[in-house]
Amino acid sequence: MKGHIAFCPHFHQPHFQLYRTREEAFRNSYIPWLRLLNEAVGLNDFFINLHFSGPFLYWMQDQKPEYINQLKELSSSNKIGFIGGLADESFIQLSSRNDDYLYQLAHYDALLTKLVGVNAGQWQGIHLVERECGEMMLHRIIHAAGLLNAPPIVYLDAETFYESHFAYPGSEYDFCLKHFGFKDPFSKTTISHIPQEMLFYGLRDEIGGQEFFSFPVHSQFRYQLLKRHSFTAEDKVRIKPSHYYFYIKDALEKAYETIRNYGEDQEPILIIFEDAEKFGQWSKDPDGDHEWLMEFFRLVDRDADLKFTGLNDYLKQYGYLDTYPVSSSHSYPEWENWTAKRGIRGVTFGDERLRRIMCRLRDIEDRQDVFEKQLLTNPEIISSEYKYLQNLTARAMLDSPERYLFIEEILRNKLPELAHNYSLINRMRNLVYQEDPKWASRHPSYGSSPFYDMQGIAYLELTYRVLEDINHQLGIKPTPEIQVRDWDFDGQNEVLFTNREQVLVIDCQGGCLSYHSVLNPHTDNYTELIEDLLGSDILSLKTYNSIYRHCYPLVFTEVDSDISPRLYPEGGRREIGRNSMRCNLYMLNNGQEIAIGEFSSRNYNLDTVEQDEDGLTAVFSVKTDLNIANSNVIPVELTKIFSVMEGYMTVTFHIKLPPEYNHLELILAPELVCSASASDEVNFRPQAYVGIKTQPDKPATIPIRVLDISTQQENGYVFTNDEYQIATPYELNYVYQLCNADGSSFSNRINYSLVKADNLHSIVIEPAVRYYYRDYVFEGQSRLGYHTSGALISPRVKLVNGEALIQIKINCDFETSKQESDYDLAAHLIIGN
Amino acid sequence: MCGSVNGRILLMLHSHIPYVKRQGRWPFGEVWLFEAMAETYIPLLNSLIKLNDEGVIVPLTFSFTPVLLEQLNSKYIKHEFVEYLLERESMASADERYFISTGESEYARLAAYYRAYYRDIRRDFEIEFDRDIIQVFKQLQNQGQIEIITTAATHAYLPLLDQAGLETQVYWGKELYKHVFDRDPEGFWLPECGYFEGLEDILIKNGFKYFFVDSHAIEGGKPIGISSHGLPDEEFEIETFASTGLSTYRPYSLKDNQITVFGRNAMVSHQVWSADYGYPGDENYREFHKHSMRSGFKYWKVTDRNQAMDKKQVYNPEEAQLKIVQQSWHFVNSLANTAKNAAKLGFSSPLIVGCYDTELFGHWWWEGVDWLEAVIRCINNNPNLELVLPTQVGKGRHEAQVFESSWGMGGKHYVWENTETTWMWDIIRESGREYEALKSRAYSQELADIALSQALKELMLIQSSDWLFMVSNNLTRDYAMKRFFEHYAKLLRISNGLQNDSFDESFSEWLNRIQYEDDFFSCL
Repeated sequence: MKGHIAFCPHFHQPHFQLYRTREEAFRNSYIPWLRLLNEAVGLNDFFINLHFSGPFLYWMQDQKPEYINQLKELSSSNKIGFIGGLADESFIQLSSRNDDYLYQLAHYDALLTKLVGVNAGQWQGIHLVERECGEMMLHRIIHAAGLLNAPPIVYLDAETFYESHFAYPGSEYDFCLKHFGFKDPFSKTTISHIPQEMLFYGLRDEIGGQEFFSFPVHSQFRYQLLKRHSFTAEDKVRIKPSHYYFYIKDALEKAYETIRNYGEDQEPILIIFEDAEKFGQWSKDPDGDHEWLMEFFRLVDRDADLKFTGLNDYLKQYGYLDTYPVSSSHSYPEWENWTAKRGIRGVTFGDERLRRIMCRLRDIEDRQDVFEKQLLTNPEIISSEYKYLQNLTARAMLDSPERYLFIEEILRNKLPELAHNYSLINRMRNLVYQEDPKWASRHPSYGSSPFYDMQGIAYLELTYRVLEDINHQLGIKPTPEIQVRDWDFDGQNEVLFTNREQVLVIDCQGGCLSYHSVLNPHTDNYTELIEDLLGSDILSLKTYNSIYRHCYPLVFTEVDSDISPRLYPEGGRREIGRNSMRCNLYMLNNGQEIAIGEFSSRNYNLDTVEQDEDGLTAVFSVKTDLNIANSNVIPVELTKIFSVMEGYMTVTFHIKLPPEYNHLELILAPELVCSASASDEVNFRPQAYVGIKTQPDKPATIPIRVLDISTQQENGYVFTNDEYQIATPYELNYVYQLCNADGSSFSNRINYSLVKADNLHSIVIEPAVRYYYRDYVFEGQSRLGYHTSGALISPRVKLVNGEALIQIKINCDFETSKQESDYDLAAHLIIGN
Repeated sequence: MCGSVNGRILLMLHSHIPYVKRQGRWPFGEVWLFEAMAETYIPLLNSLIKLNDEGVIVPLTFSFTPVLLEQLNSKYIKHEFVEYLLERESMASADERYFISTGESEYARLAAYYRAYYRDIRRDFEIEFDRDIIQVFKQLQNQGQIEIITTAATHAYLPLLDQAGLETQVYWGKELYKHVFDRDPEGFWLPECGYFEGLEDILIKNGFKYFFVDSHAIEGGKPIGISSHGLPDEEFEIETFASTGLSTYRPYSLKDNQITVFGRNAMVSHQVWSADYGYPGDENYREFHKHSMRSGFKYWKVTDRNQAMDKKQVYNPEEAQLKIVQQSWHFVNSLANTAKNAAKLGFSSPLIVGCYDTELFGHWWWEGVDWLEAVIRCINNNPNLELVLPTQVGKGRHEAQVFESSWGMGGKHYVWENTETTWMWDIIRESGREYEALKSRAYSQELADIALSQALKELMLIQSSDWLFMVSNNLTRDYAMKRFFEHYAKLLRISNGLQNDSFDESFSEWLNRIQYEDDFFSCL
């Protein structure tokens, strides 16, 4: 038996990865990889198929050019092949645009060609993000690959292929029983012309008449490489190089034995797919991993029956076994509780936070669509001699997989002043589809890192303004400042306010802010700055925290397990976002606060929404009957008024009970949530505090409780509480510091002024979200704090004469000059080590 | 005070599989050996090596019957074992496919578990051990980690053998050990703990320094072995031995300090061995007695020992693992408490001797190896307990008189000598006399030496206690009787040939064939 091994490590660091994390991976993994490859190419029999994600290559190009040079040098050994892929490692199947597939592949092609001189025609195969292979995905990717002359070769998880099984009458595979209710005496077999043991060959398939080839990746060879250590105390599996070699040879021998029974004599191939970072970075022991891998390589080298190969090389020499359709759609079966069961789209739209990214992407895609349609139907753009074909041509171009190329070409020829910005918009929009950490990384084992999405959204908001600008230049009306529509596709309308500096979405469910982004209002030369900023940051991808000088998503919270409605006793529940401006009504009972009325989650009525010269206003209200023990049913009305002006917004909460219930001790508690959080991507020592200004000459009668102060320790954070007694405050300032990889640091300040807050009872400050996906992910991943979720500030006012009113003015101070000493009290939320 | 008690735990694992090489494959025969290799010896070695890698000391004492050593070292067995494992993998794959087809996913998962299990055993046998299990044990002994002792050559039940038979079994037990381990054995495991007064003389003569007996042989009282499945239904009174006032918490010397005897501790034996209270009977552990008619794999858990086989529920290895953790802690706590109680009786460093069949762990009790590994870890983490080897314990300083005894039902010889086996003993003794007569003659032909040597092998196989046990317990009785008669018939035909001092061609061919069949003790 002669068998082949295609070793396919996948190198990836997402856009917006923390500087320190990248640098650590570089030291622990990427440099040792080079050392390993230098040694391995000296073996007689060695070949490796490397896949570098687009974000990884952009980072390397910008930060580590010497690494690329060494890689290029290594590739001259002819023992290194390259797997192509997508420029932004994006879940591109979520995009509304057909042309993003080609865009992604073409940009990757350009990048790899530029860096190592390998073009699409020389790729050994194509890496599909998370090995997702939905029908649409396969069709469009394979088509786009054809346009680039790239080989239509992919590796897919073995679970993707149809399982061979034989149904027995009465079993769950007796579909007659399932559908018609009686046993089918003949349901003994299904057609399975390739048994499982033979899924060690290249397999042909076609979609939409386009041929492609796939290689199965078996779970055992996906993540067992370098399994030198146990992952958990219960994990007893440790794999030595000789074991790994044994498994490979055993699998190939069995495949070969089976195919001979099948009547053919063809050499099998086995794919090893692995995250490259497992080498060195996971174990933090690059030397040990190096030794392990070299031992494995040598075992293969010494075995005359085994040979490393490239995917395309193998296919060229040995061909494929047969046409065997992939059973789309599948993705990432390791995390079956997450992506595999629901698919990428299921995960995205089942998670409020991810859904909000999609919603904002849809906004920008819709506006870009308007731009392109306007462009293509403009008689000045498309010559009048084609006028009779104008609409037809426009539609064909918009539906084309090469749409962006048409538009770019037209702009270059007709409106060159817009061409650059159009490219920027496309670049940014594509980038926000990157899979990490939004989709795949929110899996049950490893949780999510909230930082990346925030940065993507910040850039996206800037991009939106650039798009508005080029739309304006084409004579397109700007986005209406007020929109009432189902923004998040949940079947209910939301109110969208959009002005020069702010975008906010108010959801009737809970009457709360579910999205709020703010641009720096003090920036001059607005459009020009954004163009410059995007030009320097996005085109060369120096994407760091510094973006938060200009834009910050203030409300973009994680889902909060504490407010998740439970659906099943077994544990199923709906995770919903904490959001901002929810509001509770508490009854005081022996000092205990008891929430009544469920005002936090009720469905609010949109009473009015209007625009006047001062700004935009929406009024929401909810009426309910409180049923308090030993009391009659009490009718109560809560009103929230959201007003957005240039440079700030106000929110007013007003509650009123009939006068006969004046005796009840009730407290109105709005939740001012800011999901912006401190970050230090270099030293990992974030800092944040709430600075409070109090009225002079007043006694300290207002208690402030600060809960879950995060104290950094060697193994993570511990959480403690603190309590202060202060004079009546009139300003609460949430200040968070951002330390950036470019060496700069600055603080942003969110100012909450208590415009009206008579009868202030107390203030509670806590992390915006304590737990997300609690009990679904590791405890340490689920636990959030001020450093990961932002802050929730709750000023509480007493109801007097059955009424309470609190009005808060909110404005942002980017790169604030304020110091801790400017406040009467600075309550620290994060304490570094 | 109790915190300083230093309990010394001596765990003695006795390993034996009757001679089955080329004596049939399945359901009786070589499969017994393969099962022991796959389910006990290799997993156990893996555990010892893993513990070693983690820096955990594993001082365990092993005995191997020479007949087992010879089989494990046989090229034929090594080759056939790999074939057996491949068959198991293939059967497990077939089961997995079947259960997927029938929608029985829990069974399919277990089938996949078995497939991976046997594949990994093959991996370790071939790659880690280079097909040489005994070599790995030998290395562990040479490193001072474990101590290996010997036993009777073919596991003969010694108290009932004649003097010549006794000497043969002990002598060849020692010689085979030396041949394999390149050193003299220090200790001797009495098969079935079978002892009678005077046996120690032969052991002393052969240079042995210690042996083991059951607890009642030292302490007196009621023997632990009070029941045995399938024994002849006849009136049988269990003898209560006179209380001696001695204790198994210390070793004793015999014959003016020439040899030491270790007594098995009743408590540690009971907790593991007891059919009613022992750990292996836990509801979550794998049921040994029920297997798939398709493939022979065991897919069920004990569920409830008193329930019928058709009521057994599907086995869940993860649940079983949880029980292992609990029970290993329980066992080690029991050891600690026993040591504390012994301290109250004045034993400052009480010795607690646990003796088990090695094959109990893994083969009979599927989770047994994991349990033992967990126990070793717990003992290692317990400052008041330590595992010891017999040579570390040293000689007994107190003299004892040891009762004639065994660890079988009733504490004496009943399991091996009863109405069902009387005729077998007649043959065993007759065979001994036959061989002694042959040995005393002079022969002219070269082939006579070979024939005489083969006669000794057949004699020793006849003497094996296994046939007696199987007949007594009505377990695989037909196979046992077939084997017993076959070896006897072979001895008789050799005897005829030798007595005539003439070997025709057919005898010569036949002798060649039986040499191939009963091919052990290459150093004879």
